[in-house]
Amino acid sequence: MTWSDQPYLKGSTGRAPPYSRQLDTVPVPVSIPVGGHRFEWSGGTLDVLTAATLLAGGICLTPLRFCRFSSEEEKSCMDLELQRYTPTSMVAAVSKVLDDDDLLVEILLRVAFPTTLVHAALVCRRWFHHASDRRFLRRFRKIHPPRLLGFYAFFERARFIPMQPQPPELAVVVRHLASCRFAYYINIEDCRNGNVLTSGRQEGVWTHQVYHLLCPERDMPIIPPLPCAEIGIYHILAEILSKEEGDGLGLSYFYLLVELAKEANKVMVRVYMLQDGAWCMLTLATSQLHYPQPRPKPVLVHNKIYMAAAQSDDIIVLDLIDSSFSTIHLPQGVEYASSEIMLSRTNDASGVYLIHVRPKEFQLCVWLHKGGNWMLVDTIYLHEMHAILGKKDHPYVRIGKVGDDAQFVFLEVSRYIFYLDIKCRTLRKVYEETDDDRCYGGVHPFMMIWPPTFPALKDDPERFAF
Amino acid sequence: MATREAGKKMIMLKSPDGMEFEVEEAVAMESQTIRKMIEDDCADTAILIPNINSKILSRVIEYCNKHVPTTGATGAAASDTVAPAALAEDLKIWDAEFIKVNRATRFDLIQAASYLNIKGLLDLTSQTTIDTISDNSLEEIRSFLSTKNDYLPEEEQTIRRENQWAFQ
Repeated sequence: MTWSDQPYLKGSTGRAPPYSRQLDTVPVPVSIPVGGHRFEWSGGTLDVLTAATLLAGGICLTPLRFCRFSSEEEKSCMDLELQRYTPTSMVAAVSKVLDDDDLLVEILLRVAFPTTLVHAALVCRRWFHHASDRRFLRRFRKIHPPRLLGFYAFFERARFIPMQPQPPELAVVVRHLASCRFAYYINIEDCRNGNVLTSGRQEGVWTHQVYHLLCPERDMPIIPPLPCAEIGIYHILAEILSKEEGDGLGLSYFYLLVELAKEANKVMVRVYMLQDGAWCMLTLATSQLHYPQPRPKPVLVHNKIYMAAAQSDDIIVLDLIDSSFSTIHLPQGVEYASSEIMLSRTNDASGVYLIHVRPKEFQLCVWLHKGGNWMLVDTIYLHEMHAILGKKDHPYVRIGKVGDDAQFVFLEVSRYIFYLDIKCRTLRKVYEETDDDRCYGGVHPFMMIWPPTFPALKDDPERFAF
Repeated sequence: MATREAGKKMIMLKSPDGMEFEVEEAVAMESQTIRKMIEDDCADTAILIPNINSKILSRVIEYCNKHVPTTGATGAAASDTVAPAALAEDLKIWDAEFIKVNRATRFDLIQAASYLNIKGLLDLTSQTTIDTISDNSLEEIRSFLSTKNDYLPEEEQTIRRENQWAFQ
């Protein structure tokens, strides 16, 4: 393509550029190629300063023909450009951008990783101020949702398996996680925002404890014993649920306990919240109609707990605000008996996801319940996925764990664990069992923690204001 | 002023140093700021782009020309036949060449991309600064950005301790 092929970029001026200091002028007309197109200098005079500016911009001033610089010529232009910028004007150009709060925020929003954001915050107080601003942190999270770093699974003990590849910015975090080891008697119960809830028999007592693997000095003391069933010793359902409070306010733990009530044909549901080292009762409700079952595991979304019904193909919804029950019938064609089902939280608290696998057909459906209706978000035929071919000697697929917002699913097939990225529809093998290395399931995804901890600086009392 | 050339609507962009650039409207509308002006009908004459000199503006136009969908510098015919992935790869190589400019130009381009609201260009031009933050020690970052450390030593220590996962 020659420069004259597509002359749809055209520059012109009818007068000399308004420089106060007129220097020697260059005769016109000139044609100026710009990025594959030319523009024409159609009249007047062109002073040397403007000519130099244009040259510095990689623009060739050639009166009679269109041409492009050879690489050597381009280099000489770069030299010219470098000459034009003295160290002072470099500093000026940098500070023009970085002294502008809006532009600085735009740049900080693009750092992509919490590790880099912490580094940026340490540059100076002004940068810290922007990086720790809550509105900024919310925008950052929306653009860069926390990444999946790896997952825990249970072998001879709980072990972290990193997801590869990871960007170099997070490699340091992944390496640290891979180096942390749990004692062989410790089970992982829940893993959210860097908080690993464990259970295990310690000194003869069944104990729950939370580890902050990335901030070890913040390990929580041992969680107080879980409240017991009131009537007898049996419960129908007992589950610890966790919820992020948002804006870096930490994580809350809830304990859901369902048992048979004294009255016939009724269940009693209690929900406790862990506050200041004690389980405080939040909700007490009895229900005649709704018997839950422990699997699929209940989920807590905003102020609602979604549980599987035992006697019908329904989801029981307990509203913690008014202790009321309601039910959602499973989507058409979905029933508990013949399929693998898991529930997943929506990050915006608008509803609940249901992941439905027909194990023998290797078919996975993602449903979203929102505004009173089920919506089929996606159907994925695992048969068609390249990664799974030849690895189905045990022709059955189980759901290991579902990510929040139905972003991903860990699937257990035969001796393998697969990671299915639902949004990107990619499936990849992340673990293969060998005779010496047996996995007993218990997959818990570990996401990068968010947000960083930004302590209040002495001169910054307003930081917590919205 | 808006004119027509080869059936395409043209628009005139003026830099404060007196240069005028006639560009396709579609190219100019890569800038959300200009798009809004055009859509709000505030752009029937030439649009003056304040604070962006002709050198920087010509580079911005060069970028927009390349990135405008389907009718960019590669031409409509090329984009019909080239696979999207190959096209994206071509753009990436082109971007890498485009950004080989000195630091002052890059920062001028950041400012221009921000004012004109061209997301791709802002992403591209900010990346070097971000890489600098990712890859260098704090002292190097501060010296690169000509910024002074105004933390009390204990404050810096506290931030490091609270986020030690970022440094391990």
